[in-house]
Amino acid sequence: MTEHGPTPERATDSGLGRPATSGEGGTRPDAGTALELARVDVRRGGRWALAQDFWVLYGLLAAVGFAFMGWVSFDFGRTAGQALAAGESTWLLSTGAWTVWGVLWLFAVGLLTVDAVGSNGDLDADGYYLSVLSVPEVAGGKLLTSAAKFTPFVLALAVPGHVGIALGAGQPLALVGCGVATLLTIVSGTAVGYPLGLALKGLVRRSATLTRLKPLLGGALGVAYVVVMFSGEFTTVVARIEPVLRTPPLGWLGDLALVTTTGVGASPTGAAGALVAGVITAVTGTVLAVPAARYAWETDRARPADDGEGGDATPPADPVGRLLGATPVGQSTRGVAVTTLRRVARSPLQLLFAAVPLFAAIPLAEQVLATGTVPWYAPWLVVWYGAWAAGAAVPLNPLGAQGATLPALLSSPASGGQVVRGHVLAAALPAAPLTAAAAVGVGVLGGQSPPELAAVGVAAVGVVVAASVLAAGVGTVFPRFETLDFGNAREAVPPSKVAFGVFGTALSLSVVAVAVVVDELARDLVAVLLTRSLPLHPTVGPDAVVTVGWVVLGLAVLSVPLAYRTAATRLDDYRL
Amino acid sequence: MSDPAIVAEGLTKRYGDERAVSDLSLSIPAGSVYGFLGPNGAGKTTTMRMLTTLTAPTAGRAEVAGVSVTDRSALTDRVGYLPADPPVFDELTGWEQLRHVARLHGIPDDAADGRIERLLDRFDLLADADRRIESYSTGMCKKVGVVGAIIHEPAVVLLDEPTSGLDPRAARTVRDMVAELASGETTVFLSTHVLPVADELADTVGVIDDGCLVAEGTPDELKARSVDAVDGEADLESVFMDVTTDDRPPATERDVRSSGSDERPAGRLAESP
Repeated sequence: MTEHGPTPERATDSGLGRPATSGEGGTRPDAGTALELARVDVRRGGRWALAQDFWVLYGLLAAVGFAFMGWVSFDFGRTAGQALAAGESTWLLSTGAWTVWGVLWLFAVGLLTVDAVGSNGDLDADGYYLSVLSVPEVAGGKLLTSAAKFTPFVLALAVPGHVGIALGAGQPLALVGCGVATLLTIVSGTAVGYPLGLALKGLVRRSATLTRLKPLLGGALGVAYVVVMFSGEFTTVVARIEPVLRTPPLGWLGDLALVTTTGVGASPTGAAGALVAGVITAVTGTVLAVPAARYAWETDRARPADDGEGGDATPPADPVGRLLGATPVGQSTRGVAVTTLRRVARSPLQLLFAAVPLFAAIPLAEQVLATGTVPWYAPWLVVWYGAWAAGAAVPLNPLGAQGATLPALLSSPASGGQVVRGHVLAAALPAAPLTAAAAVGVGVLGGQSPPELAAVGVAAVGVVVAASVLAAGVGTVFPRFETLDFGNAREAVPPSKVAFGVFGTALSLSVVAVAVVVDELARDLVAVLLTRSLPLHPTVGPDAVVTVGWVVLGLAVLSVPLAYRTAATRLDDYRL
Repeated sequence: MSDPAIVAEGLTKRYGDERAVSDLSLSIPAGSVYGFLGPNGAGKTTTMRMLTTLTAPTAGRAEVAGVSVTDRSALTDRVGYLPADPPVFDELTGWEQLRHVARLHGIPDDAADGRIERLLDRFDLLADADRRIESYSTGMCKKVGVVGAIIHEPAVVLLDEPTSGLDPRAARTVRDMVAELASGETTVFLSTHVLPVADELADTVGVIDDGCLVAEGTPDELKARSVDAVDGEADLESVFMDVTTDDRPPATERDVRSSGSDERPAGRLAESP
């Protein structure tokens, strides 16, 4: 692609304010243009996130998490500062700070690399930007955007600790070193991570195989990250690489951060080394970002070969449709079930919402692996999760999930009942056997008796089917039509928050009811919990718990046909 | 004249205080093409949604293919509807999408596949039918939508902007298909911004503006009565510009001026055919 910038007149019109520079061959990139691009990018990103309830909620949860980590960091720092004032030392001031700063720098580089490989390394209007601006300007704008986006993360993790040190030790100057180290981490981390990500993006775009595998590799990386962070293995990983983190050049960052804190013994030479190495890294990385950006953006993308290339198409293979065709399932129900399953399999983004509770199960899995014993409630937890996931992944938003095809569905002869049955089939076909097998398998590992295993297996199938019907009923009453944008043209229509809440609560109560009716230990536990938590602390015996359990179960059983009827009627009568 | 396939009397839709469609009356004969014109936001889509049971009228009544628009279960088999936004799933292939639609209509797979193959071939989509729709162009999505609207051979087809986004060859195919449908027993209710398409295909043209039907007649009648008609050079664009301008005189005055009669119903340039 030929690079060229806009004429001063055009630039003025566009508002990018590019001043007159030298001729085409020697056009100098303009920092003001890059800054303007970054400003617009950050503003757009903020508005994009604020316009979507999911991202607002995610942001709030992340803010709470960072506030907690910031408080812990501050507390650590204050303790260390007080110890320093008393002439003592702590882990943080002897070795810990060097490790923390090394981890922080690697963390920033890793996140920025992933960010650039993903959709944030793309240009939204590349045909426009790359035709009116030079690559250095556009790449500079993206670098600044990335730096701005990740600054809050670094600030939230690094600064509170040093504020604590400064307050604890009574040394305000301690903040100077921290400030410089923070700035250097952001600038050099961005200058390394972002170009690296762009280079990887260019590599992926040139390879049909990597393009095809990218979602899989991204998913695997995401799962690995979550497992490491939630399983407590993060500290093990850090311990493994600690020698590298504390050795120059990474180790110099700790020196720089603590060089203005008297009494710690941070090396001034190391601090100077950090400054020099940081500046060299930042300049080199920024310069290399330009060819990396060209490599990523100026290429004809390799496309995975289309299945249907060459000759006229023939009727598609349809094993699930054929399987259902051999049953009394009606044609419309079959159509809804097959299409729903196909969509989930080919666009598994919506399964993300159903995967969230799995993160909470990681500590339990770790405990099972560590102790070699399976808690009595584990099979029931599997049943609950299987039923919840089946309902949340497929039938919890049958109206909204139709997207643009909703008018076609509503104006077709398919009845509401057929549509509900199609969704329930799509959910239960894969989820019921999987849940039953997993729950029974966990029960076997836990040494449960054959009758208990049979109860778990039967309950798993029944609860998954019933939960799917319940989800359809709740989902048609509380539909959601707004798409959730994940960037890069990836969208999903998740169920509404109210639907999630109502469905999750109803299901949890039902599973607890099954558990207390079937399992003696469960009813004893619930009896104790109720006795302790109810107002006036009335004595609740196991028999009373069983009675209540049967009542809840009765209501749950009644709610299934009610949910089916509600969903069918809502679909039949729904108007746009 | 055959029995009307679409009849509407006083059809009205209000959203709160806002009137989307006001007192709309139609009588469209079976086997004809009705061109439905109007500016953006005039009420075309709301009208089509009411006629397909997707939106409940606030007042008035309508029947499509002899069935009240309040009886969805009886009507769905007799109408085909193509919304302006093609009703397709990106994750499916073109063929899978159409088989899905056929199944919703209860058509056995074997019969459906035969129709799908024939229609895809007609729309020059057969070679791409096993590619996912996410890789399709806008025009290809539209073609799949058109096929989906007629695959069950309905008595009445309502098409909302069927030629938008199509290249000239595909647009020609759609126009031919509309003409072919109407040459049989099928009634086509065609909403379009492409006035030459309405001029070419429509037996009757209705123009809706701000929820009111402000003109109706055959294309020739409308052109002849257009206030801009000079030496027979008027076209539907002149009619459209005339009857949808903000500063036009009240409809009753215009009716009188254009027809020389005070017996026409208010809001119309011409009698319903």
